This record gives sequence, C-alpha cells and structure tokens, in this order.
Amino acid sequence: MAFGLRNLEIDDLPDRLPFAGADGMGLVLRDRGRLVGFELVDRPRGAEWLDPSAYIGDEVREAAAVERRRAAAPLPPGPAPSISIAICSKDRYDWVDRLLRSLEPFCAMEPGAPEVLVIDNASTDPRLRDVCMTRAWVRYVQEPLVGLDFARNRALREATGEVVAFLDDDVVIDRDWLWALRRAWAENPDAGCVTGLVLPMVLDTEAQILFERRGGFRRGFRPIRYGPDRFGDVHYPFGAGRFGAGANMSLRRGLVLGLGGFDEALDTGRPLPGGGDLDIFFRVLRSGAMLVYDPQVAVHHEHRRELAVLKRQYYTWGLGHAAFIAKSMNVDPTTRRRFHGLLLWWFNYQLRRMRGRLRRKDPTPMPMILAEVWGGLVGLCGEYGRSRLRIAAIKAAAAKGSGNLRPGSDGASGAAP
Amino acid sequence: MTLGAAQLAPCGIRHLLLDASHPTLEATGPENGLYLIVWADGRPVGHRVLVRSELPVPAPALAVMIADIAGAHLATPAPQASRRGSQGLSVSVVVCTRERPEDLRRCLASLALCEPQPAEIIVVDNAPSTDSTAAVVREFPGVRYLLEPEPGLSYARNAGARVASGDVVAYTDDDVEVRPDWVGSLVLPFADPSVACVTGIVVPADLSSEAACLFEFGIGAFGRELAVRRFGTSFLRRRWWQSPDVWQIGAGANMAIRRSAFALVGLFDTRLGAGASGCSEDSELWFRLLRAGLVCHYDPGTVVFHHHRNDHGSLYRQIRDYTRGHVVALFVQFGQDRQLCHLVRAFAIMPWYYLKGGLRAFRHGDRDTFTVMVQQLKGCLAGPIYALRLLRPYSKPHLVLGNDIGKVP
Repeated sequence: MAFGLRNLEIDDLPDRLPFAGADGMGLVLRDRGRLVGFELVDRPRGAEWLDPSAYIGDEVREAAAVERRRAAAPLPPGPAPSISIAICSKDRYDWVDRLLRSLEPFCAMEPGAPEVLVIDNASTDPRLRDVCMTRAWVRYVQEPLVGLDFARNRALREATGEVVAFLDDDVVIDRDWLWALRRAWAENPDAGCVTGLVLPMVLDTEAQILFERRGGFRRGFRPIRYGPDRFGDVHYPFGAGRFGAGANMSLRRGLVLGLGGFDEALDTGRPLPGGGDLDIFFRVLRSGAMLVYDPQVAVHHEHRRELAVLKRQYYTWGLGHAAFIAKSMNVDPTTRRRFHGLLLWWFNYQLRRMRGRLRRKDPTPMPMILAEVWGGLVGLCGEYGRSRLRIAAIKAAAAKGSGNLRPGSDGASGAAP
Repeated sequence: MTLGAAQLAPCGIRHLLLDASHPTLEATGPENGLYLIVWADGRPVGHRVLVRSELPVPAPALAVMIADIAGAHLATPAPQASRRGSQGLSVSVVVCTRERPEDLRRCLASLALCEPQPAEIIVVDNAPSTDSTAAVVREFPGVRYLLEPEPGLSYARNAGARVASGDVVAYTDDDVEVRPDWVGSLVLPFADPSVACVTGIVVPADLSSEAACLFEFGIGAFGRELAVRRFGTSFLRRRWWQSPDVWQIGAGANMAIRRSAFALVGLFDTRLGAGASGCSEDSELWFRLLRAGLVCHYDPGTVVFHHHRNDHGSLYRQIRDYTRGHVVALFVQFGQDRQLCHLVRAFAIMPWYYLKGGLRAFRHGDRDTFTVMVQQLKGCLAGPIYALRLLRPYSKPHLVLGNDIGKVP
C-alpha cells in the first residue's frame, strides 16, 4: 500500500489529480505557499483521479484567510532573537545528511544565518562525524552519555543563540520553516517555546499511512498562543500532547536552562524513549511563559516504515506519556488531582478507541491500541523511577571513567539500546 | 490550572475592531479575565476569553489572534445588510420595567441617542410598589408612561403592544443599553413582508461580578450566533423526538415584532415569562409565528448591551426560573401541535443533560458549574409541576387591530 503526496495551491487547483497507480493521495494544501490544510484521500475502487476542489472545506478557507491577514501585517519591530538549530542523532548519518541538505540554503550562505549544531549522541558509526565535517557551517559536538535528553541538554549548553530550535534527525524542513520560526518568535517576544507542524515526508507503507490516518503529528493549521492557564479547558495544561512534538520545537535557551534543562530520565532510548517533549512543554508553561504553536513552522517527518516498529512506537508513546504524568505528579503533589482526571480521560479515550475499532470506525489496529494502553500501564508502574536509577548508573559510570568520555566508553555502551 | 466561569471575575471586556491596529493587550485593573469581542461592519464577528496569565498579549501576537478569532468572517465575509428603505414603517419601542429606576434611566438615555428616533417610546411599569419608575420617565420628555397592574412580563409586554401605534413593536428590557443604530437596524428586515419578527445579538455590558461571569460563560444564557439567520417553517420540521430549538432565534431583550403579526397569532402567553413560569414567553411566540408560516430574522448587526445580575442569590433563582419556564413553554407548545418531541425534551433530554453535566462538573471539581447544573435540574423538575396550572381555563390574549388589519401578510 502506498499513497502519493502532492502540494496543491488552493487557488490554482488542477481539475483532476491522477492517482497514477497509488492507493490514495495525501494532499498538502497551500495558499500562496502557506500551509493551510492536509487531506488524506483513499482511492475509491476503480477511480483514476480525484477532484481536489472537493477537499477545500471551510476550515481550509479560514486558515488561508487568517494567514493572508497575517502576511499583510507589517513584520514586528525590534530584533528577532538569535536562533541556534540543534540536531541530536545517534548513528543515523544518512538522515542527518538529508536534513542538513534541506537546511543548507538557509544556513550555509545567508549572512546572519543561524548556527547549526549536530549533537552526536555516542555514535558507533564514524560517518555521522564525516557528514558534519564536510560542512563548514555545521558545528559537530559529541555527547558521550547515551540518551536523547543528555544530547538536548548538551545542545542547550553549547548553543549561543537565544533560541534553540530542536529538529529530530528524521525530518527535513519546509521551505518557509526558518522564516516562519523567526516570525513566530518576533510576534511573541514573551514565548518560552514555539512548536510547529509535522507533516509526513512520504506515505509509502501501510504503517506510515496508518499513522497519518489517526492524525499523525499534526496539530491543526491555525496559530495558537498557549498560556499557563486557559478558560474552560478541563485538562489544561496537563494534556501536554496537544502542544506539539519534540521533532520540531524551539525553546528559549536561558529559560529552559533556568528550569534545569530537559529531564534526562525521559527520552533515554529503550526502555523509556519518550515523554521529554511533553515534560518540557508542561514545565515551560508552568513557569509562566507562553507556548506558541505555529503551523507555518513546518517540517516533514519520515514516519516509521514497518508496522512492527509503529506498534512499538504506540507502546512508547503510552509509556512516555504515563512516565511524564507519574513524574509530574511526584514533583508537584498539588497537581495530582488534575493528572488523575487526565489519566481517567486517557484510559476512557483508549476504551472508546477500542470500541470504535471493533465497529471498524477507528483506523488503528487493535494490537496497536493495546500496545499504547500497555505502555501507559507500564509507565504508571514505576518506569520513571527505574529510569532515574538507570540514568544515575550511566552518570556514575561516566564519572568513574572520567577524562575518557569517548563514545563507546564502557558506561555509555553498557546502557545503549 | 483550568479556570471556570466564576474565576474569571472580575472580567474586563475589550471591543476590538478587526481592521484597526491595536497596542499590547493588557489588564488595566484587577481583571482575572478579558472577554475579547472582535467587530467588523458594525457587528461582532468573533469572540474569545483570555485569562490573566495569558496577558499581556504583545501587539503583533494580538494581531494574529484577532485574525484567528475572526477567521470565519475573513474567509466568507457576510454580505452587507441591505440598506433598503424600511418603507416608512414606524417603530414603537416598549420597555417593560419593575422597580429598577437606575437601570431604566440608563436604558432610556441610550434610547434617546438612537438615530433615527422611534415613533414612540413606551415604558410599561409592571405592578409597581413605588412611583420611582414614573419619576424616571418624567425625566425624559416624549416617553410615554403606561401602568400595568397585573404582575408578569407577558402582561406588561401585551399592554405595550395594545397601546403601541407603530407598525413594528420593538421590545427591550430595562437592564439593557441599545446601540444608537438599534432602531434603524431592527426595522430594516421588515422590508420583507414575510418577516414577522426581528431579533439581534445581546452583548454583555459588564462582567465585573462573579454572578455576571457565571451568567455569561457558565450557562451561556444568550447564545452568540454571529451569522445572519432566517428562521422559517422549515425550522420546525425535525425528527419526531427533536423539539425545535426556538430559543436559538434570539432574546426578548432585543426583538421587534410586526404588530399585525400579533393580530394573527395572538399576544404573549401570560402564563409564561418572568413573574409567571420564568421565561420563554418570547420563544413560545416565535414558535407560533413559525407555525403560522411567518419568518423570524436574526441579525447580529442589531446590537444591545445587557447588564447581567450581580448577586448570586438572584442569579440562581433566575437560572431555576429560566429552566422551569423553558419546560413549561414546551408543554404549551405540546398543547398547540400535539407533537411528542416537546414532552421528550421536557421529561428526558433536558433532565438527562443537566444530570450528566452536573456529574461531569462534580468529577472535575468544578463547583460553580455543578451548582448551576443543580439549579437547572431543579428548575427542570419544577417545570412539569408548574405546568399543571396550564390545565386551568385560560383565555388567550388577543390584539385587535383597527382598520390596518389588511396589512397582515
């Protein structure tokens, strides 16, 4: 199963869009280049083409109107904060290479271009280093302690910009990403975090299509300014998944360092590879700063290709989410009641999904829903505490072998997945 | 933390023009919330509640936020209301009041600023215990004073309709301020002969008290429909268990009715409304108008500002009365068309809705919403008991027109 992906200008739609052998089509809808909608269209039996105008609904038109109005406004006065781009990776040199190629036009030649850091998180493959060393505009930094949040914290310490934009290695940026990111920060000088849209890069396999069917990482096509509180929103801001995803987030460096950086016990790779982004969104908001979601700050993400890996991801999402909740409840017991409410809602939501699946209304296969629920249960049953112990062991081992914090040193490789 | 309606108090109101540029949005006092209303073409095109911790909003972020709030309007701007002449229809404004001299003075002062002026303004003093209302009316030369000894809003409104001489009777309440173009914009849609009633939007004038915030955001007493709507007979056709939501048509604080339509379908039901069942005398009249094949026209460009009640005690009584009145009106409507849907709503849908809402609020620890739901549930259960009075003999109030009865569309 494979879907085609097409960029369409909503004012200049083709009458017919041929499926050309694909089982369906992912339509990325733009208005004068701005992202205003995404539609996943299954190919009806026997159909050779689709009429794209049928998928331009009110929501798309409204998003386009808002963006036009926004584009007409003068750019905010005052200097935008300086930006550092940080890419944390372990061994995936080909993906980093692809991402750096998408960054190259904006970062290599332009004067005043943002600094680009690649944090090598204890790679065993030297080619990641080679990919970075061939580009003079990339700063290559090694972080020997295995764990995404070790690498992210290293990036926060190494970066020089006021804002650090984190990109996962499995994305490429949209053509307006940097421009939109600067605009978002200039529009919101009081923001602590800006998150953006994550679109699919390809829809070649069943796993990738399945994930997009359930909404993917998309969080809508309207700019949203989130504050520490919100009116009439029961699970706010405890349901931190709505704010965005760690694959495309930028943070005010000074603020996050002041908050103590990322929690290293989350996002450690197996067995607890998630939750660090939720945790930092939540803490930024609790500190009183604003969090801005801007769909124009867009990246294209290569979803996992295999169903087995996707199922594993559902498990880790449940796990990371629950670990984040367990941690936050412990840190601040006054939030306990609200998190209990959120958990109740979450399990109820999963039950509804299972019911929906039994009635063939939910696209997600039952094993994946069960994997997510199982992850949630494991996460609640002390996974965060166990992860703390593992992190302490990694740190202790690194300290013992101090002076020789090379990748592949015994402490790091012992905990590597 | 998530904030509920009562925690917004005191809540400021900011009117923002869509096409203007605005400075940084800040709280100017002890406001815990801000209610933003975005205006374009003289009507509200969007609104949003911000809580204090979301402030200040820097100017560029506010510009984006305003565009987002007004997204629907920006995507499909409503056609400009036709400024066709109202064919010389004259308007009588009727203000019903009872012992609220301060409110009444404010209301009459706003009416005095109306351009064009109505043909007449009638203040109906409903079962007064003092002469304070009469004293206020004397301050405004040209305003007619009318005494209605029988207590009840419907009695007062009917009395106003009987003495009114205009082709259109515009009703508003004493706790309302009207916009200067109110009379002019109310009368415009009557150019269409099938339009029997015109309603408009009710915008809060002041949200500084907890009770006002609960009234506005907790129960959403006045809907905030932002598009022009035309309600015809087709609005009554639903599935058998669905009673038509006639309350969606508007609010009694901002409506005008063609006087000849009163002659056709009768006046307000005196068993309903404040002072009797509680409310819904207006929506029950709309129900009759629609059944008679006439049209109700809602236009958000017709604006009044409402001062909500400020103390909890009267708020809770008001909520109870509203719900009770709603249920009683369902029984009256059942008496007219014998459709089961009204009873289904009165006995099943409404109690279930409030029970569910109350339980949810309890689970979330939202005390204010819980109390509101309990009050509504009480009113809902009191409705059928009150409705037993409908079994008494009742003669419907009628309006007999003089020689202009031929105007009935």
